[in-house]
Amino acid sequence: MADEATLKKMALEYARRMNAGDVEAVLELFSDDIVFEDPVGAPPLIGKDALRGHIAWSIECQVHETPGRPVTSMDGRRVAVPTTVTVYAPAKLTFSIIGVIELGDDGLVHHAQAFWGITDTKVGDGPELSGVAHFMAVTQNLAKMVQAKGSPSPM
Amino acid sequence: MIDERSRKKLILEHSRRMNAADIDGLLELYADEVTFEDPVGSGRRTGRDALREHFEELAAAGISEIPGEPVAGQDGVHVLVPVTATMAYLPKGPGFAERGWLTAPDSPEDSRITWDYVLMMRAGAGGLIQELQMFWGRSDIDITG
Repeated sequence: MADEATLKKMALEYARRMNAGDVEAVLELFSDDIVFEDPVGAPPLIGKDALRGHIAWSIECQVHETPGRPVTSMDGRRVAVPTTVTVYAPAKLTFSIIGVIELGDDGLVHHAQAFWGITDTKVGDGPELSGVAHFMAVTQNLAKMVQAKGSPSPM
Repeated sequence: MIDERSRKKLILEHSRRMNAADIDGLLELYADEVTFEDPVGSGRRTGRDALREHFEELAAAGISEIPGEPVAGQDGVHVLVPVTATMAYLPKGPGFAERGWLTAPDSPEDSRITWDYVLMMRAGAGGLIQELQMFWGRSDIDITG
């Protein structure tokens, strides 16, 4: 069991390391048997090697995470944190997420869930789209992100 | 599967009915076989009778929730929202103090509880809530005079 301050620090530390763009430093926070759901509803990534690709991809997309106030639980294991996540490449997308992470007795994250929906995603800086237009814009931009995966970084 | 906007409406409507102390209205949002855990880690309870009792205590304390922006899972069932809430210390506070979740104030009658939590709901068939979980720990709850 971790104390509440440690749990909350873990959630904030994840964001800090993502923003620093250091893939291996991010991975150090996770156990080898990590189950990582991002978004919840997609098939989970299982294990550190699967997660490495996802983290590296997020960093290639120039991810920036701004965590809000974390809250914890009475089990000494779980912490939830509302977070604004922006990716800047290949196009700017902003996600409102709530992350729930679960630590094991080793102090590492064993389970991570990022809850965000299509309606929690904003495209670019333009006026807010709604309905079908919003849905189409989000899914097209998510597809672009997926296409950019594994292609040489422009940087 | 319930679409994202309907789930977000559901969780905000839940706060609205909680603030209105509309217990019957709240229970209408739930499935018969509901399970709930408030706070997460304190033990899961089941059934509408237990839930009614839980809501009646919160309503008796005059709970006021201010929900933030809800988010929806892409699993068709989950919806979450960060909440800041306040209520009178009585009647729930002494139970919290007994469990070591907060320190009992000198004058319980004049004290209030403020806290931050994340509500997580899982909705099922007919758009009814099947599971309610509230994430908060000792460091998310405070006594104000």
